[in-house]
Amino acid sequence: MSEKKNHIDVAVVTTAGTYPNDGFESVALEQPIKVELDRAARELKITNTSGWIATVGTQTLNVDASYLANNLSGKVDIQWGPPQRGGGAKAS
Amino acid sequence: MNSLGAKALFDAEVKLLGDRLLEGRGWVVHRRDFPVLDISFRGDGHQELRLELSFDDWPDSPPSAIYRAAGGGTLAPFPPRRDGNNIFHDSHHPTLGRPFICMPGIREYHTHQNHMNDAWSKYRGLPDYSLGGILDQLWHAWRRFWP
Repeated sequence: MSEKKNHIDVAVVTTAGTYPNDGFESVALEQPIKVELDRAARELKITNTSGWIATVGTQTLNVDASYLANNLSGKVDIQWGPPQRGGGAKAS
Repeated sequence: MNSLGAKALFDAEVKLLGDRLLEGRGWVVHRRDFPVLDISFRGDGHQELRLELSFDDWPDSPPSAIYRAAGGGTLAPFPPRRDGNNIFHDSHHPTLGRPFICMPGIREYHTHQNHMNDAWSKYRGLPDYSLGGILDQLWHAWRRFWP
């Protein structure tokens, strides 16, 4: 659990790197998840994250909502990356 | 790009696949020697998906993907999958003669007769089509479709 009351320890894990590089960042439980994702994108120099999916375990997160609204607490690694973009049509 | 440049880029991108990411996602790297990345996706209640990706000619060409049995070695048929617009094609690729992954960013998609007008050059260099971005897409497809 974060040492700060009403905070959560978060890391954003991508195939371009992890933010923060070690450990976690303490952020407010009421903060929208996308704030930390945007910060991670800047720090990791990821130029386009449109449509990326954030997950914790099997849960897909609503990144416009807060950690609290997503029922997250304690220490979490958010897995973040692009979904399958295309393909899949029947081959002949 | 020559093979030295391709290897340097491959090595740099593979280096980003650190322990925290691999353990957090249930990814197991069996081999990461240029041009081959042999990787499994495990967990989340799904059967393992093991892929041998060949990045020869990277990034001028996207990786070729071969589905392996979990133990490696054997070219295996895809298991029955969940319904949906599925990238794991049981039908044989017209030039390779084996099941293939039909997704932009995988060589077999771009060399299939149905997708010759969807060139890799449209995707190359985009974050979603880096080595890691392609793995992300495959992983999400596995989570969605794999039994």
